[in-house]
Amino acid sequence: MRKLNRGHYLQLALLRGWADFRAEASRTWLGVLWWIADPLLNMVVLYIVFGVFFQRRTPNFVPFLLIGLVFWRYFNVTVMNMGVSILNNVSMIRQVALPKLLFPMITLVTCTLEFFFTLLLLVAVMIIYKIPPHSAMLWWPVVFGVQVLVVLGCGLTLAAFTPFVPDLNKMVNQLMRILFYMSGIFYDVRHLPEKAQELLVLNPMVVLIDAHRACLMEQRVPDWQPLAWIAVVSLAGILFGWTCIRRFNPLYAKRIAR
Amino acid sequence: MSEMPTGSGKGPEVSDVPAAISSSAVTEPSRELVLRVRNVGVSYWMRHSFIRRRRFWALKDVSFDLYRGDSLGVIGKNGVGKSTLLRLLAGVMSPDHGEIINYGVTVSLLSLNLGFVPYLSGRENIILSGMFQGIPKQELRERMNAIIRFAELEEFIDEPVATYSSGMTARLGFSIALNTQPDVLLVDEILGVGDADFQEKSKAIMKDRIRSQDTTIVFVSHNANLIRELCNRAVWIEDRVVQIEGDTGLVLDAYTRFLKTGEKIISASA
Repeated sequence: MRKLNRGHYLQLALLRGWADFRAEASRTWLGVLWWIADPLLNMVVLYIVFGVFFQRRTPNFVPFLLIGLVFWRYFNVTVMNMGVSILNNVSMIRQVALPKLLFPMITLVTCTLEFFFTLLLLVAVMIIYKIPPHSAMLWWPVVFGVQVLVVLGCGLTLAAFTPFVPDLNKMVNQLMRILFYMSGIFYDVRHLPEKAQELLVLNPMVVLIDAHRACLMEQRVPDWQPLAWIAVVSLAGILFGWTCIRRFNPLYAKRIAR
Repeated sequence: MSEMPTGSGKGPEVSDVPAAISSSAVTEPSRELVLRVRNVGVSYWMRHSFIRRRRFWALKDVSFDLYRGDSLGVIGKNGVGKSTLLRLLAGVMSPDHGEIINYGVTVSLLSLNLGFVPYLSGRENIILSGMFQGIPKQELRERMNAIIRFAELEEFIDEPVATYSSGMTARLGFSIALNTQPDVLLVDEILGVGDADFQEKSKAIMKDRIRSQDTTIVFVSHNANLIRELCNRAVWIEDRVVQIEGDTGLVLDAYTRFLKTGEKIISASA
C-alpha cells in the first residue's frame, strides 16, 4: 500500500502550476508577450483618457498607472481563476480521490508565475523613468506577501462555493469591474475628499496599491496598521475557505451540476 | 412483488439466492475481506430552475463483499448506476446512506489521460498524470523508459501531446494508468484502447490483470461474456438495487434469464 503525503501534493501543485504556465506561454503565437502587452495596452488607454483628455497627470504618471494596473491585475486574474478551479476540474474530480485544495493552489502558482513576468515590464518602466533605488523598496516583499494573503483568502473561499453556485463567478466578475474603479488605479486616493477616503480604505486593494506605490516609487515606508488589519482578515478568510473545501471534499464530485 | 417468479420456477430459485449470497461469506472464511459495502445509496440533486430541484437516486441499495484476489464483475444495463458505484468505491464521493468499510486498502479507478496538458511533451505528461493518479514522482522517473516503451512512443515522447493522434494519446494514457497499482483496481469497461495492434496488447494485459490472483479487481461491464471469462464473482445491479451477488455462473444465468424473460429474482423494492 502506497502512502501519499502532503509533500506529494505540494510537489504536484508546483509542477502542474509551472507546467500550466509554460503551456499558456506556448499556446499562442505571441505567447509570453501577451502578459506584457496586456497591461501595457491597458496603461496606454488609461494614460490617454486620464492623462491627456482629463489632464489628471501626476508626477511620474506612467509608473504610477502601471503599478496600480499590474497589482490590480494580479489580484483580479488570480482570484477569478482560483474561483473556478475546482469547478473546471470536474472530470478529474470524478475519477480520482484528490484533496480539492490542489486545484486552487495550482492556479495560484500559475498566476503568480505569470505575474512575475509582468513585473519585468514594471522594472523596465521604472528604469526608463529613472526612479532611483531606495531603502523603502526593501519593504515591498512584505506588501506583496500581504497581497498574496488577500488573494488566497478570496480565492479559496470562492473556489469552495463556486462549484455549488456557478453564478457566483458572474457576480464576482461584476463586483471586480466595480472595484476596478474604486481601487485608486488611475487616480491618487489621497487627492479625494476625506469622506470618500474613509470609505475607500475599506477596499483592501486601495491600501495595497497605495503601499506598493509607497515602496516602489514614492520612497516612503507604507502605513503598516491598515496592512496588518488586512493580513489578519485575510488569514481568517484563508482559514474559512480552507476549512470549507476540506468539509465539502466528498460533495464536489456529486454536486457539480451534471 | 408481482415481479417474483411464479409457478414451478419459484422453488429452486428462491433457495438458490441465499446460497449464492452466503457462499462468499460462509464457505470461504479464510479469505481476507478488503471492502464491505452495505445497503449503499447515492443521490444527486438535479437542478431544473432557480428553486426547483429534484433528488435522483443513482443507487438505492447495494451490498456486497470484496475479498483479496477477487475479480468481481459488476453487470447491468446502461444507466443502472454502475459507474456511480465505482466512484463510490474509489472514494470520489460518499454514500447518502449505508456504508462502505475499507479494511485498510488503497482503491483507485483505472483512468486514461487523466489531467493531460496537450501543450506539454509526453514525458512531462507521464510525470504529471501519474502524480495525479497517486504515483510518487520518484517511481515515475524510474519507470519512465518502461512506460514509453510499452506505449511504443519512443520517437514522439518529447513532442507535445497535442500533436499525437488519438491512438497515440490513448496508448500513453493506458501505459501510465497501468502503473497505478492500488490494492483494489476499479475498471470501467476499459479493455482495449488505441489502434488495432495496441488494442490486442492492452486487452491481453488487462485480462491478465483481472484474472490474476494478486490483484483485486472490480470490473464493470454490460458484456456478460467478458465477465464470465474474466471474473470469479459477480454482482448484478438492476433498478439501482443489487439483484444477486455470488459465483459468476449463477449471477450471469440469472441476468441472461432476466434479459430474455424480464423476470427478476429479487424484485426491486418499490
